[in-house]
Amino acid sequence: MAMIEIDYNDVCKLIGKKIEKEKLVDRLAMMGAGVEEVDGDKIFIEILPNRPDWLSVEGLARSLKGFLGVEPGLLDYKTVDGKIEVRVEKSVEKIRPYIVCAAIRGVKIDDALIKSMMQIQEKLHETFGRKRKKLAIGIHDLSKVVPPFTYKAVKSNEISFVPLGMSKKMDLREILEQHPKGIDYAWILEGADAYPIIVDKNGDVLSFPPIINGELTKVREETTDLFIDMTGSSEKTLEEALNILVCMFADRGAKIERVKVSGKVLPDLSIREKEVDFENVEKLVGISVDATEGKKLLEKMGYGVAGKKVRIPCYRTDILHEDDIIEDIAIAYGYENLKPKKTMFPTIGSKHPEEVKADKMRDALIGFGLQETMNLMLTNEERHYAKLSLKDGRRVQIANPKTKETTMLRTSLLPSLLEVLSGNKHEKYPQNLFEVGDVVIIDEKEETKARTAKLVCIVFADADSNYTAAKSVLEAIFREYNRKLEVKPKDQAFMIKGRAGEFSHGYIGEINPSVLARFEIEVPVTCLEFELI
Amino acid sequence: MSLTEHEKTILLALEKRPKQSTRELIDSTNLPEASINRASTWLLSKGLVDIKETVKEKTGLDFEGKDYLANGLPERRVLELLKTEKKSISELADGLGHETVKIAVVWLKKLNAILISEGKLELTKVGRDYLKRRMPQETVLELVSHGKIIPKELEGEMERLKKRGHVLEFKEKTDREIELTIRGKEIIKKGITTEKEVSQLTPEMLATGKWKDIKLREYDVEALSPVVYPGKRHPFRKMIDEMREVFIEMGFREIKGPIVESSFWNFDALFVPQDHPGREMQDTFYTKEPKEAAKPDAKYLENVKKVHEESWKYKWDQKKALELLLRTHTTAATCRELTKVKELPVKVFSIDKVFRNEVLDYKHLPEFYQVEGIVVDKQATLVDLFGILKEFYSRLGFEKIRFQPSFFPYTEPSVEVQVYFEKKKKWMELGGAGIFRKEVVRPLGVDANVLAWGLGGERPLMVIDDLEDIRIIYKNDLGWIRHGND
Repeated sequence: MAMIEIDYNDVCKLIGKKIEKEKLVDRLAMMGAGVEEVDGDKIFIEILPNRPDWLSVEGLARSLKGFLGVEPGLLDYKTVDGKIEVRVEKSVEKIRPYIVCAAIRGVKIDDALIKSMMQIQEKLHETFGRKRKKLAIGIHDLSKVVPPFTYKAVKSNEISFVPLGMSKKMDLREILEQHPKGIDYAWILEGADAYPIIVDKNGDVLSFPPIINGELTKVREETTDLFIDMTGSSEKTLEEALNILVCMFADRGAKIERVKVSGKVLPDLSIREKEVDFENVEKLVGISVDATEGKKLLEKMGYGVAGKKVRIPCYRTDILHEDDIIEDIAIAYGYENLKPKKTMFPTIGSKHPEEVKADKMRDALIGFGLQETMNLMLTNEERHYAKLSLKDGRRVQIANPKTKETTMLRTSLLPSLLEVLSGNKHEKYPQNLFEVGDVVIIDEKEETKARTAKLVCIVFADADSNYTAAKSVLEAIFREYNRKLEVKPKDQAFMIKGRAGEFSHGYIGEINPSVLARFEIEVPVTCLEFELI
Repeated sequence: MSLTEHEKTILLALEKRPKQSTRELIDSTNLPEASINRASTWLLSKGLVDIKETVKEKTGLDFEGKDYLANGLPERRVLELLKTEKKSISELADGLGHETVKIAVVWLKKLNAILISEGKLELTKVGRDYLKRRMPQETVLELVSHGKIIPKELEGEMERLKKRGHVLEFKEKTDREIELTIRGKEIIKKGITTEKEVSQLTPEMLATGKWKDIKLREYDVEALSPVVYPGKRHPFRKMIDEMREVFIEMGFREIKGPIVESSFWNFDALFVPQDHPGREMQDTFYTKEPKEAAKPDAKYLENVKKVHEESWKYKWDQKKALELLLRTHTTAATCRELTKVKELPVKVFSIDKVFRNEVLDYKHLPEFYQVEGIVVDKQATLVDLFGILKEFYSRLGFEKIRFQPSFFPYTEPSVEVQVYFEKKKKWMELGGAGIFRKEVVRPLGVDANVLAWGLGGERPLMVIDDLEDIRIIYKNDLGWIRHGND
């Protein structure tokens, strides 16, 4: 997801019609571009990952034109063939294998375009580009360099140039170590013994992808012709992103010129076609749409239609399946116009047996006046074991915790209940609390090598809390369930010696004062825990 | 005038020293504080004593304050991270969370402890200096936590700390002083006989008939009694129960799946490409023990591999699919269920814990409940889904509901569900829905439409109870869970 900012007046200008702000916000949302915030003329929009073509105001305006009925139908972007050639040397194969390029002629650079250009680059880098690893974009002033261009890999000291935002020449190693962008993105090139570079006929540097462009080709107000390079690890992604980017300039009136890149001629703005059976709209959406209406709806979404063939615009990278087109038909029809249908789909409802058991137990415990608590399952070894004088046991361990608080999943409910007592010292006693909750136990027999178990844990905290009172409750529970209870003495590290016992799948006893001290609990606590029966 | 035993005891104590505080009366009468308060209030109403109350403010730490004391002020945490190198806000937020970093930056700027250049934060000389000594607010925090008096020169800092939300807490403390009135003195002069009154009738008195000879003390039937609390379900449990009830009323069967799940069922089976950002380490908890799942049925492995490679044009890696993680959604359990579909229609639901690798703050929990409903039928369509959603949400109390186009990797069409919240007079996002892609259901052997919707389980509670901080749900503050929340 990415948030973009567009200007209300700019978008109206691009649509070619003044649309009331309120209506615009509503239409954007109903098209699938939900508006997060409106601040004066600034509109902030959440762009979902399936629509990278909406990462610019031009792209949004393009779709709105159709959606609002201003200019429905397919936009067939034209290209002209040029003479620019980009040679790709084999040396880049191991570092950053792919490059795609295009040239743009006759651009009018103004504030709106500069802003939009910077925004789409940044957002494409973040989302599609996986932080520039999969894709990095360079936009250059074409007049400052001489084709043909060469994409190759060089040693770090082989080339030095003035990178964007600097005033002196630096070699590649220096850029990676000192330039702010170098520091930010050096990780992508980590371990490489040669670095990708794009140079012109005279050896002048256009770009050191995916890090930084040269100062030489910086786009300025007087720039009229652009050269675009995109490098990365996936050719498909690059070509898709290139199409999205060039269309944006064409929307502002510029001409797209094709570039020869190692055999290919790019960008390839040809129209894809897919067959759509309008009967399938009813099967998926539940409304019947005939060919005439289907055509109208598709044109509203920027498609062209010729019989059963749907012509997909070159900037739509998200269309994989007939269903994707049918979804657009539903959006064009308007989710607000789809009448919810009350169909029974007759089936019988039921609770999961585990939840039935858990509920029965909760009811029983509430009958004893115990208060339910709910606790988190993620914890750490310190809180789960050490504070209870226990050694680390077998447990699910997290490989990549973001904080030290979440390194494992609990295997017992007792530590969290003691934490609850610790956090409620200012509240009235007695504090007799329980949880019926999940823990996860390592189990090699399971497909995922672990299983979820439901445990019951009770703590009694009060000035006169004691073993006998707790055992009365335990016995009552077992009586309630018609189960036999046999408690045998069993000392545990966190219990008072001689005041603890075990029974089938459970234990009971008085918490050791040293443990209470660690939790800063100031009253005696008796506890019991067992697997849910 | 009739006086109770306690009232008499207090009067007699006051006879010796006519002006005493509650504290002193506890010592001189041996009565508990509650009895003294009650009896002296009655004596006041009878005009026998005067009570002077002085209210004092007592400052303590609120929950943020306690957190700051234990883990350091946000600005201290950021300061420590900047000790060795410059960092950007987003780098800092990776470990600390955006909220914490935001707060820290504001205060560090006020202290002139940081500079921001080229999007990076760096320590100034003042900042470095603070690495070695306490910041003024830290001193104040420390003093307050020990109940110490704040010196004059730190009063300004104290005021600033007060303005930070939930750091300090102010409690009122009342001191009472009880003084004998002239009428009180007269009554004592007339003589007070402390005839022994009995307060509790005992079985023994009943058995022996002794009850006839004794005087049973009259009660103050209006007095407040000691507080007792019933045992109850947790407020959030009630919400979960309610949602479960709604599903069952609507004919849905509850399902469950493993918490430690394989990437295969959590992502691959849901058509999430293996390089999708959502799968990356920063969003998902992967496990280091246990490490790798056993292979699921070869048929599903093969089908899923094929659909990924054909659609996304990359080499699908089985090893990556067998990586274990904490499920990021219950939809993993849904996928497993889809392989068991025999007779249509099928309607199932789940309400269970899911996990996201996020730093705990007022908006995010690293684990939360996901509520999910599924309908499988050949005739099920988007308008049926809308109908089911309308019914489901209205049963939860949200009468007005609307749908907007959205996106999820495994549904097509995808829908965002918004409900109108009367109390706030605004629309709020409360869930996502859609129809599973054919790329998801076909490889699992289902030849029907699968309608699905889900929402965060904690969200309705937060919206309905107007909770601003999601952490309160799992804090188990007895003040919150014991009191009326029906």
